[in-house]
Amino acid sequence: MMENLFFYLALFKWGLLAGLSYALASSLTAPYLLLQRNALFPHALTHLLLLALLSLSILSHYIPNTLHFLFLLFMTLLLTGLIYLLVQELNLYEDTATSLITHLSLGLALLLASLSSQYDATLLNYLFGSLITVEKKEAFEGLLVLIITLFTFWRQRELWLTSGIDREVPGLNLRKGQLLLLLMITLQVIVGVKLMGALLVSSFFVFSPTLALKIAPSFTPVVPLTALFNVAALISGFLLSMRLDIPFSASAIIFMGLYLVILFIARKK
Amino acid sequence: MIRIKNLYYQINGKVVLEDINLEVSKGDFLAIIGPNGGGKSTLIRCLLGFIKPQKGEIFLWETKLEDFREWYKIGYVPQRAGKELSSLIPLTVKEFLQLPSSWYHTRIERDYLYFLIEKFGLTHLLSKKIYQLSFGQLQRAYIVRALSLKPELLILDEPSVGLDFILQEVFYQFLSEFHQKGLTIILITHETWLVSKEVNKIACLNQKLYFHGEHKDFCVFAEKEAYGFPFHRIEHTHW
Repeated sequence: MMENLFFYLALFKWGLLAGLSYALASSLTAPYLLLQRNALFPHALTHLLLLALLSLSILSHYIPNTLHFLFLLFMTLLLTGLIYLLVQELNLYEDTATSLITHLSLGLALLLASLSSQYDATLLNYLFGSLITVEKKEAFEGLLVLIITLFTFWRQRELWLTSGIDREVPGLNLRKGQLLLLLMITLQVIVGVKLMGALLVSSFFVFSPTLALKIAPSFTPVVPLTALFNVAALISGFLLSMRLDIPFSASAIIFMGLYLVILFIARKK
Repeated sequence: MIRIKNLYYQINGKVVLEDINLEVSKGDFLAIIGPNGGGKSTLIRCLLGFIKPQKGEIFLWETKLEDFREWYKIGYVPQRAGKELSSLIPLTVKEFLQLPSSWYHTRIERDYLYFLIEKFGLTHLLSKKIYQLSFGQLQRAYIVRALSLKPELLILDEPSVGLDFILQEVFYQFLSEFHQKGLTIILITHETWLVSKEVNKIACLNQKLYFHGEHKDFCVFAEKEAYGFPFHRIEHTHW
């Protein structure tokens, strides 16, 4: 058993390091996103990212490798911008605009996938990630995103919290804070999808912060608790997938399902 | 302290504020009154830089609004404060009251904060979560938060809406006490019967400024013009 564990740890070390970075980075932003009632944003982002990924797979011959990440970031931000254009210009609710653009993106993505015969590799990687194929370079990308998020969190956390309570505060640019929060989440999702797939990435933004927000006696321990629950899900998901030979993302999400049970028990008490 | 010159604001082609000129001096207790939709909150939102007027200038402490940085000098209690608070937020009253210190990187004097907490009857609520507070308690928490950095100016937008008569009495008594200690106050209300005798200046606003001057000179005629229909104003008599 232990031999197996060491074997898998050696095999997945970069994937796990990248996953750990992602689990910690998302815990710095996820609780604030929930407070702004925008829990579906990461899920919507994963849909937008699929279109960006398939576009990249078609255009990859024309775009140097070093610019792939920037291309994904630019295209995802462009599509996110479209959501806000609909909100501003057509006076739609944010969730309506998000739903419209994500469905449109998904439709276009599937069209591109069928035209370019990218159904298998790109789609499977997108949905479930590929922890085993993560290399040193990608693990460092994850670490870099964690450092950037940590820096932004340190400077903006009070603004992010205030956005969940007040609409306007004299002298504070809450809108700028919100945009930075969404930008950080976009960065995290782009890196995260590559490692863990769309399914798991958006789950990290919902299960752990919901449990942390509901059981914390005050706001101070919410972020550390979210980080703890995310890391627990990552490690348990890894161990379960290894032991039961099931997909990593599915086992991590099923483990996080336990958080709902805890919520119900805590509620009854 | 505050100078507003030729302010003009419109939204979606509708003029909300037209040629507003207003001055607030240190020690004033100004009530901005007028009907619903008359532009009172819009005026304050312009004053605090939340929205940008199409024309006009605003000076805070003789500094142009765009260049003003000393926001800790202003305490603000928004309209319908905390009405949409999520039950997901586990923020305690104590954490809530300490927020302004992080906004403006200024230390809150602990003794003064506890003086306010006691004064406004929040001591036993400090460890409660803010969404567990009643509307009246929440309103008091917002006022304590606004006063926590010892501001020179307190702006309250319809603060007594939703409070019962007794709480309104207590609330205005507190405001009066702080005013007597030198705090400048701007109070927005459409409930003119709540304008206490402590208020020394009145601005009557309905898109245009119909009256701006001393309480004693306040003319019922101007008020009638602003509302567009005749009515009786009931003075507070309990002071």
